[in-house]
Amino acid sequence: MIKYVLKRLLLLIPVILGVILIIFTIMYLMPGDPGRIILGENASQEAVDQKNEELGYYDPFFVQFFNYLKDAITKLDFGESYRTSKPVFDDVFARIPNSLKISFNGILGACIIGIPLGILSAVKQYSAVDTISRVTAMLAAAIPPFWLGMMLIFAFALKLGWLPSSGAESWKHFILPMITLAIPYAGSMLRMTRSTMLETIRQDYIRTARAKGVPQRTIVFKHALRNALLPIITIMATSFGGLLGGAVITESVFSIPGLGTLIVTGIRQRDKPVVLAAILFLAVMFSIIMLVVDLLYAFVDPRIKAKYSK
Amino acid sequence: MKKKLSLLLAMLLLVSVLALGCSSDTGTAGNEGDGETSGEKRDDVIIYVENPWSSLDPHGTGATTYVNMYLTNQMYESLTYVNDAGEVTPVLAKDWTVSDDGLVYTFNLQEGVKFHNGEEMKASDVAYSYERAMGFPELETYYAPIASVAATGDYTFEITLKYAFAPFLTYTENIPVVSEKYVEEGNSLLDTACGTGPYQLVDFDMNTECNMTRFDDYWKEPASIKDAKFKVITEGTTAVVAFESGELDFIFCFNVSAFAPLEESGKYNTMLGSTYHTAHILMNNKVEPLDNVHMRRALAHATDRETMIEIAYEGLATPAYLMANTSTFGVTEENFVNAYPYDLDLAREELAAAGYPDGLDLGTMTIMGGTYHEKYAQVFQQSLSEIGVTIELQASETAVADATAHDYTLCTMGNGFTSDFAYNSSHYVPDNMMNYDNPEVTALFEEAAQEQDSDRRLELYGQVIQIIQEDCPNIPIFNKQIPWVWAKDLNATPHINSGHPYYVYEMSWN
Amino acid sequence: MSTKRLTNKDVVSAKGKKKSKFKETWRRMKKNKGSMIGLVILIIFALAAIFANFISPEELVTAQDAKIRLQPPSSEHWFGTDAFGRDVFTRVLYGSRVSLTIGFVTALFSLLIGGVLGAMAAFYGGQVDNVIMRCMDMLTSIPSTLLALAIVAALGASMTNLLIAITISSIPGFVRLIRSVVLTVVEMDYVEAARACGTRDARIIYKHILPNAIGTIIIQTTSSISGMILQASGMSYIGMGVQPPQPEWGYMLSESREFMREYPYLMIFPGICVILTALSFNLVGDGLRDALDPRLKD
Repeated sequence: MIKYVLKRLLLLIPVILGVILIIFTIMYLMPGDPGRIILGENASQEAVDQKNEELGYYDPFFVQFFNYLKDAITKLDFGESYRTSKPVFDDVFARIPNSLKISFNGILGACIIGIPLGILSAVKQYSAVDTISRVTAMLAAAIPPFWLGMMLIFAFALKLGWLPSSGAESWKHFILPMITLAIPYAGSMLRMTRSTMLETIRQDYIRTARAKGVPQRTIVFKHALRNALLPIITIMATSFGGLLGGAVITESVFSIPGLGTLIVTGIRQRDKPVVLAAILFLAVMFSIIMLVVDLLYAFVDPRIKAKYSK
Repeated sequence: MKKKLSLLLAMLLLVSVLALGCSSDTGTAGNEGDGETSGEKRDDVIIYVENPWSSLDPHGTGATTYVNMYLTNQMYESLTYVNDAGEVTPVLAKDWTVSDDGLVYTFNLQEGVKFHNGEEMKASDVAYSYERAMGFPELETYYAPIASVAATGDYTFEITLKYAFAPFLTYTENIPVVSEKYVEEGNSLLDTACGTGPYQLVDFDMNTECNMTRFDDYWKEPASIKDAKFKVITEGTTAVVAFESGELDFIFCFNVSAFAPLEESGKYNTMLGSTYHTAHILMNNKVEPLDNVHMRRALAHATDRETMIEIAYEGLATPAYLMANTSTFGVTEENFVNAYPYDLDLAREELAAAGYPDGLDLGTMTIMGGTYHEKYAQVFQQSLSEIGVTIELQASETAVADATAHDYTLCTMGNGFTSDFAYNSSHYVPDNMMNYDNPEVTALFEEAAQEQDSDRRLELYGQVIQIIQEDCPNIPIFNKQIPWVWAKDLNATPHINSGHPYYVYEMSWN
Repeated sequence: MSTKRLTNKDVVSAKGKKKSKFKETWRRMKKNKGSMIGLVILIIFALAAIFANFISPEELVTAQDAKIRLQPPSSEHWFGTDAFGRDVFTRVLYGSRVSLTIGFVTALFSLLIGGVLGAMAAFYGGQVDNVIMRCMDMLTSIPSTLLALAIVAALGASMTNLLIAITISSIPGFVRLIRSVVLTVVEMDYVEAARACGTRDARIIYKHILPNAIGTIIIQTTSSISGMILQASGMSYIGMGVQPPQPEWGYMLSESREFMREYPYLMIFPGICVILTALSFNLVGDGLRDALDPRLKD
């Protein structure tokens, strides 16, 4: 088992190097010279050229790439933000709590809504409840998050005045973003729960259990749900990994300073070191989350466990 | 089996505890405008900021970024301040003299001025601040004329220029004074501050908010407002909602369309503040076919300013014909005129004179995304299509950098100017964004800047403006006005100068 | 001679089989009311996109008139006019062209590229599989919205670059799916038999694997289109997608958010269109799943 974990960890290294190469290439292709971005329009061309020289902007692609890797690996130096002239991870770390909060809350909300409804509609397949919740789920997944966010602000902050419209100061501020994120994910959570539940309900052993006269409640919660949990956890984990940086639009609608908005502002201002560092961080986080999920699988599923226990 | 389920449940629980734990640090939020209802007088104010800050450094990183200046203006002071009438008024300098050749400026400084760290401000601090500023290319425009600076006594400070430069005094407002001791002790000015202003820093989170409190040893009357909070809200529509629900006290309408309903409601103080700012269309003067003056004039004649102002700025801007307005020294009612009125027939004539009677494809027009630029660019595109000129719009977040590097054909732009046309020369002398270079204009600007006689300067600027109008290097569209809105019981005075639009010092509650 | 006859027969029977399979699917789908509603909505949108010119002239998409700006819906302007005095109905109508194009083009290209890579990975296994899948791991570990945003920023904001960006960011999903589908088929006895007989790889893929994998692929593609349309509108919303004055629904929503309070219809019509399109793709995908997936058969 330990060998397996180590092997998986080692496999992360090429993936991370690959991610650096991909993002570095995209950043390299992005127009805009750093000297001008850092010094602003008032600076003279000479000062800008000198700054560019300092930053190695005129070096060929591979020289730049290897210098970046070298600094990152040997000195853990990922560069300074063009915007703030501070080390990039200052900014990245300052934003992580907010991103964690809204992602956790979003997924939590999605589970609270999605899983029970999913179970219900699987157990009562083809009933009115099933149809309504499925259609609602699909409708929810079809709503653009920015539109939903604006509508929620309009209703709950402006018209009713119950909740603050923006910011990240107290738990109240996280309610509307949580709903905005949870609704579309609740849709997919519901569909996932329903389909895996249906799949397991059709398995032979469930049929056997039924035939044996095991009560419906026991079948659903003891047998079917347990087997359906694994895919649900997978989807939770992937959504969480994706949400950490992917809640860009929700973050921007509610002015939440998270990683998503950091990267978007970074992209807009061509603050390449920040974008690079932030995306890299997210990629590592995501890979680790996926690794944990895999290990969890191995832990829970005896078949996989048997494969690696040797 | 049970073990696994309970493990999963435990994980879920952990997740939820983390989520709630993270979000329970409430902070100092929840100010819902209670001052109005309880009748108790408030002594704090919450101000809207449209973008995250980049630093607090009054000289270096982002020193000329408006959002940063909202903060530094409250905490730092300069030798002078240019008031709404365009006059240079004393701040840290009590008075000053200029040598006859216009090269040496001697300032007598205020005595008994304290920095936030308790040190007294001396001429050495001023000299230190100027030298520090001169190490940062961000402020180059302002220190370019300076040859040297020196503290000639405890309270006298001298600046020697490389060449006579008539409007130099107005530049001194842009070099704030910092405490030498504070900086030399190794404190970073990026996220801490130590100036002489009426407010001192409490805390600063670059992405969300900045808190300041009244500086009790301020050298003038202490401020009326005790605590000032600056809050970043990046979505303009959300900011207005936040204001209406009492989360903010002082805003401007990032989306101009929000102004009229707020004004009509009668529930708030409102003001349309004029600015030193021109929105204009850049035409790269060295790129074919825009290097042909007829081509540029054709585009100018196809510019429907009235509609642009109506659509892009809800009718709240005034038409502009230069990189200035009539409150700028050197610009008068007589020469601030529309040389190229909107007339598609004249546009077609000029187009034919440029050699393209049937129109042409001018390629991409770079637009500064997300704001009014995007709108008037679409009006422009529509008018051009009527004279057979096609352009494609492309939003670019680096429009400013691209334009400075002359990496564009057509581009929308917004530029600030000052109360003196000499500063605005930077838009017309070589290395400008338009890529415009007329030696005659350059020479006249140089002569006018060094001329000490103001009547003669006016005359010279008159000549320059005439040439510029003929050359048509760019198409000025409008001078925007800032739609300010603030709470009914709050007294506030927005200013014309875009970099120094308001002072918390001047605010108070009724 | 005899072999020829045999092939002919083969073809005929295969066709018959295909037809009956199609019929069977259709019969089952017809029973699913939701997917029928989705299909009808989709057809309406598709017809509107194709015949937009006959409903409202194309000039009206960009024709501005400051005199009639921000007018509520009326008999002349069914959906009202926007801040430029443009007819919102016409813009929404032509917007269906843009959105459907984005949906179909990105789905098609990510299916093609993802299909080839996924099939290769599954079919050849070993190092090929390893290399392809590790590359996909790299792409998946970057949140897709951010990857797409970065690509658009590097290439410049435009419709084409938006298509490229969304395609690239959705390739990994398709590779994974097709790899897993093909893997299950490859392990079937008849494929191994064909391989043993020395049949060419391409022929095996075309003849045996594709027909068996097609169901799952169609389901997945249909359902992914709605996600792509939503992603495109989200990117246009933050100004990194379709450029003005092109009538993309997401961009129209972005333009109208500042008028939300006084002129809500500006946000409602394009919003409903995005939701309806995305919803109907989901409904159809769902119906197809039920109809094609034998395990879910009653």
